Amino acid sequence: MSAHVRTQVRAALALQLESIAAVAGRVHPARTARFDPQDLPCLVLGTPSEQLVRLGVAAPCIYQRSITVQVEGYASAAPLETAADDLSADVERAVAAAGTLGGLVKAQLALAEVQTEVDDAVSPALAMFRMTYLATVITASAAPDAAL
Amino acid sequence: MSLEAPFADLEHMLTDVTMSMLANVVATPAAGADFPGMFSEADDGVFDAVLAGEITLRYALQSASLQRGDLLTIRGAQYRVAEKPRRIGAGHEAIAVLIEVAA
Repeated sequence: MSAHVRTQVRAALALQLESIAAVAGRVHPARTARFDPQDLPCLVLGTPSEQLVRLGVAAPCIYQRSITVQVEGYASAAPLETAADDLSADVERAVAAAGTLGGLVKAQLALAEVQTEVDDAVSPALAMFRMTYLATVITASAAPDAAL
Repeated sequence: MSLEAPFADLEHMLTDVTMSMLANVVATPAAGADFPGMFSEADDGVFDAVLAGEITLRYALQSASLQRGDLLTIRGAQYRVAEKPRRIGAGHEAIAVLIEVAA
């Protein structure tokens, strides 16, 4: 049995994001323990939610899954907001180049929202961004691990 | 009959005693006299994802008047006051958030 398509999407995307030199070896396909500042910059992927729509009336059900994919980036280089913007720009380029993740998703991931935060009252000062993408995957109800 | 606030004088005295008993550093400002303070350097989860240090200095307001951007030397390291120090309690003491300045 393969991994759920959500896991597959995160893994495939993490592989693409590894092409960004600044975070090579620091792309995490899922949430991990808190990072040490010396581990930055880094990227963390998550799929916190998805919406499913049944396609047609056939049995078994066929689902069109709209998966929310979040790419979070953390950086401590100054100037903080520029560091966050530069890294998020690299993410946008890498995701665009990833296309359909080898056919796993039906269309290129669509960027829906970007949030940026800075905390300069800690040592070291930190910046983070959260990019929210939408991925569309179709599966049969009995096989959430197999993209159609 | 006039009202009194008997704890006011005691509170001043308590601030002095607390600082004299519990100060763990002497801070040297870039300008002005050295003063004692309670230094804390604790890690916290920033953005719920990264461990970073929250460095604070609690001090008596009668001994120092710190402003955002002031530089202090504590235990041989240099720090910058990150923001206007917050007064605490009855206003005799304040807590300053510090940022370590790279050597």
